[in-house]
Amino acid sequence: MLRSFLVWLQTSLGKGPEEFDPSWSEALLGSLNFWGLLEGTHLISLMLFAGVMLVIDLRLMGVALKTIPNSVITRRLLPLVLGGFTIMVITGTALFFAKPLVYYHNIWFRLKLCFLVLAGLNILWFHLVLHRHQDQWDALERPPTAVRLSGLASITVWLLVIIMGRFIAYNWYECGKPQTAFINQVQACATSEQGAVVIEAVHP
Amino acid sequence: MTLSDLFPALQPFVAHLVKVWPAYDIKANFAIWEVFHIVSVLMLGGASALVSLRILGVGLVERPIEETYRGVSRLITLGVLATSISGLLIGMANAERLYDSAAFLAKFIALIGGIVLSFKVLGPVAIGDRRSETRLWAGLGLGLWGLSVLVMATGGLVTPGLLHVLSAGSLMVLVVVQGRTRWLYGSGCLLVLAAMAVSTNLLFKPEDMASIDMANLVLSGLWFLWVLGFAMVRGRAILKEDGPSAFAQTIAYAQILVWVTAAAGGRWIAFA
Repeated sequence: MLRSFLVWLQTSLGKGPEEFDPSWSEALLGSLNFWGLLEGTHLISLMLFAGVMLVIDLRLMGVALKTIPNSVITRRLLPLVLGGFTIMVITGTALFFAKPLVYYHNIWFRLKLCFLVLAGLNILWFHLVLHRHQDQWDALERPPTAVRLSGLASITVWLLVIIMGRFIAYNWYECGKPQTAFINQVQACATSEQGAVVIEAVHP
Repeated sequence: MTLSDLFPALQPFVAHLVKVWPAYDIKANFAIWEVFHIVSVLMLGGASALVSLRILGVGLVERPIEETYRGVSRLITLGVLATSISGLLIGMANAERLYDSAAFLAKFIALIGGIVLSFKVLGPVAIGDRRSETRLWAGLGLGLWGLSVLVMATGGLVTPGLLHVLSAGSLMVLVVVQGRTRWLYGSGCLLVLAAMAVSTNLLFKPEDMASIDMANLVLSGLWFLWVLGFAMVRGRAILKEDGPSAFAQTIAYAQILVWVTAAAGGRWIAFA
């Protein structure tokens, strides 16, 4: 059902009456500069988001800006992080809209979404559990182990999100190429246009 | 303009680079090294942007600028080292392609300008050091940034990458202009963007690249003049009188824009 919706999104939404009229998704992908500008803006907003987020996490770990209380860092820098994140989500959604089926059948994109969920869970853990006792460790140069672990988890998960995002550009595991049944399964290649080719069938 | 235009005699050396260790090992794992480079730039750009924003009265305003700088100075040093080393290594592994890329030349020059500003100017500016040496480094950093913008502006298919720099500059000015002026200014920016969309997608055919390049360049120039005009007219609002010196604030603005230029150049290597 999800795939059918993405097929409609990619091929039918906004399509003109003529046979070769592009859909909005195809027009966006085929645009001369707009798609490139979206990708570039996605990367530049990543610099704002991830660069500042890294500093916040390093403060939680007691590595950077140790003389400034965590509450000051969060209050003053979180708006910048949210600003960067908002632009990233808008440009990321537009990039997905340009090639929804490619992303749907891409293992790196699926892993990226998983790590985004993990990052969200880490934020929840921080706010629901660690944040409640912040007055006890707010000004400490070296916060308690649980807080430092949360900072480390955040850096690790966001790093993995960035790595997965970059790997999407590589076609190592593209559907239609011979690969293990597991990879085919994870990417739902059997439902893709290229189909699932199991490596054992090609090279027994 | 590309490195191959500037140094054509280097072609055999560049072609040989990929056969030199560690280039061939890196080429085999290029994606990993590329991510390492991107993360290094994110760290360097993010940490130095925090200091620049603080100078401009955004971010950690409750604390002295010097404290913000000292808190992230090790990250900046680490970022400079990691960016330089990873850039050199992935550059070796991809040398022939980069040698012919205007986007790479723009990125390379902006990167060096950014490193000069982050490493030699931002620190003294943040701690209020008024040595004349700092102004010389600032001149070098700003000059390199100007050169990278020039390379991008004359780089044909790369020129649209400048829109990132213009957008970032426009947003900064949009934040500081007030009231009706903000609406007038914002409308002008949107009008230029609309003209760009119409000229590159409707007015000229996709195969007419010369006309599209010219339209991009002329409209980018118009947009630049529009932003610069408002920045100069509203200079007092942009350079706050109750903040650090005008020099410090100019460096802070330039420092943010030079990293945007480096990132835009880097991304545009893949497109043109």
